[in-house]
Amino acid sequence: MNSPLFNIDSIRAEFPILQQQVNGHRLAFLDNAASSQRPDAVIDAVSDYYRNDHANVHRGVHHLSHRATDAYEGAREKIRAFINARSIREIVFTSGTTESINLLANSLGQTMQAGDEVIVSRMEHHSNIIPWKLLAERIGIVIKVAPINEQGELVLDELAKLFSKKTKLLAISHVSNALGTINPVADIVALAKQQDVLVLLDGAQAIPHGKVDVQAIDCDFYAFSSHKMCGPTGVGVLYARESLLENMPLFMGGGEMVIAVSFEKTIYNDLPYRFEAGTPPIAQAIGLGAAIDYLEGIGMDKIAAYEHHLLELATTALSDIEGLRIIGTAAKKAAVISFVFDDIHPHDLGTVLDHQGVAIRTGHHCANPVMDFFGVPGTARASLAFYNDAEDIEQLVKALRVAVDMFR
Amino acid sequence: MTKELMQVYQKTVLEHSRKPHHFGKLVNATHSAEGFNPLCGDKVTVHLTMNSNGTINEVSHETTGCAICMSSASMMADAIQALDSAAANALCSQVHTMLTSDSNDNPPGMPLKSLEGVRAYPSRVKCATLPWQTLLTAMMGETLTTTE
Ligand SMILES: Cc1ncc(COP(=O)(O)O)c(C=O)c1O
Repeated sequence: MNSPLFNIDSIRAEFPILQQQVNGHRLAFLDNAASSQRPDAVIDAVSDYYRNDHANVHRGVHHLSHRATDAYEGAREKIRAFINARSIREIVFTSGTTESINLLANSLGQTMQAGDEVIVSRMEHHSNIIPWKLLAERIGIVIKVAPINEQGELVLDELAKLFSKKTKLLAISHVSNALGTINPVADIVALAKQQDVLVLLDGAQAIPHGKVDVQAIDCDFYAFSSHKMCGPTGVGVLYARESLLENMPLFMGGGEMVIAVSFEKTIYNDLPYRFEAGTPPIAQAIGLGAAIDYLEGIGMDKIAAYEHHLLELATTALSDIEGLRIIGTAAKKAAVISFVFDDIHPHDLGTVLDHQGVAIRTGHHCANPVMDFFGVPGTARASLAFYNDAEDIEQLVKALRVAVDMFR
Repeated sequence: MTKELMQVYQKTVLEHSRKPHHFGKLVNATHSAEGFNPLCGDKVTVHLTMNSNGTINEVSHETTGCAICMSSASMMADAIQALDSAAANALCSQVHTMLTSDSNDNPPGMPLKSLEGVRAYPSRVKCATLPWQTLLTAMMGETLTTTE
């Protein structure tokens, strides 16, 4: 699908890592849901920063510190615009989705008491389960689980029944990493608002694949990771509605988050810095800013459309393989295809595919409850990005046929 | 297919994985242990009946896992039948060494030699060692082990 609007060959050329051979084969990198790859623009932004601009931020009067601070805060503004937040005060840098959710659980958790309820769904990644379980163990909150159906879609009617006077938060993924399901988040938020319940969306898998507008969705919190959207590892974001963040209890203490400290009295810093104790991931945040420039240069809508085209291509091609069963067949899906064979274990598939240059993920994808629901120990998962092409899919199918011949 | 891959998934391995020997529960088991690999979800349960002087009279396993794990469990069950615990222990460490070292001097007739190819895949070695680790756990009279 090379077109003047979306030239896949020139996009692929911008990703140096894709230009290699693995085990003597062209690399077909189909494990993007675990972590994406980076274009030159991001790699260069990080190395240029280290070569030219690095100093600690918000601290020095010297020139480099100003430059570093400007670049770092510039990245925050890019993120604000990217997700359409109202203000940079709503953009808290974290180390990733996992820390974003843990920050929220530890902060909001201080306002909860035994018997309060948090609703999650059956399709959550462990990082949106365990922080709430820890809170349940620590203070006795109750976790309620919204069910999914055989297609891997949330059952909204059942979700609606879970709300009670004690419900404090609905914490749910925007897109499932194990199934690819795109949840109707605006509808879900509307449902929660009727009940006066706050909503956290785990956007780790949604943010790389289409336009996310936190005001249009109207969620209270939105968590995501840079490394899944072509940015560096080690940085992520918690978006939080300013009116809420303003009153949220603090979590981590240290430098950056305070203005003045004596042993008698502490004056805490403004938003969002109050929630960012310690030296932040400066280079990583700047790299994330470069990734956003890069993605917007292509256009999130074009990325979404192209990936959808790849998803359809791959779904059709895989469905032709005898004995292959796709797990997760929601009507609305991101370009994630989990699949199993009754007689071939996903790890054996993974090894045989790797031998043919095809990188997929195998296992439980940090979503044990999903695996239990479908009665499988794990799945093989091909997850596509906008820099994948039809040849990657052909290579996957060919490699799967080799594996099938080998194990049957 | 490359030589290394053929080495891992050789005929013996595939045969054992398709039709594992000694698969199932064991009534009258005197020792049972479960072994987990939390990274991949593989699970092996080993059941033994050991007599009073420590000889393994019967053995069975219930394995959910990949071809490597399944065939390792199956071959293990074949190999330890009727061994006393000293001999079974010795075999465990012999196999462990074979799977984790890169020396090539494992004798051709050695049991489990066909699993040797897994050494080319560091991420898969634990698939092969899990049944053996579980066996050791069962023989020690314990009931649970994990690879992590
Ligand atoms: C849906 C979802 N949530 C959360 C995470 C955790 O992200 P991270 O490991 O970057 O914190 C992931 C990553 O695999 C994910 O797919």
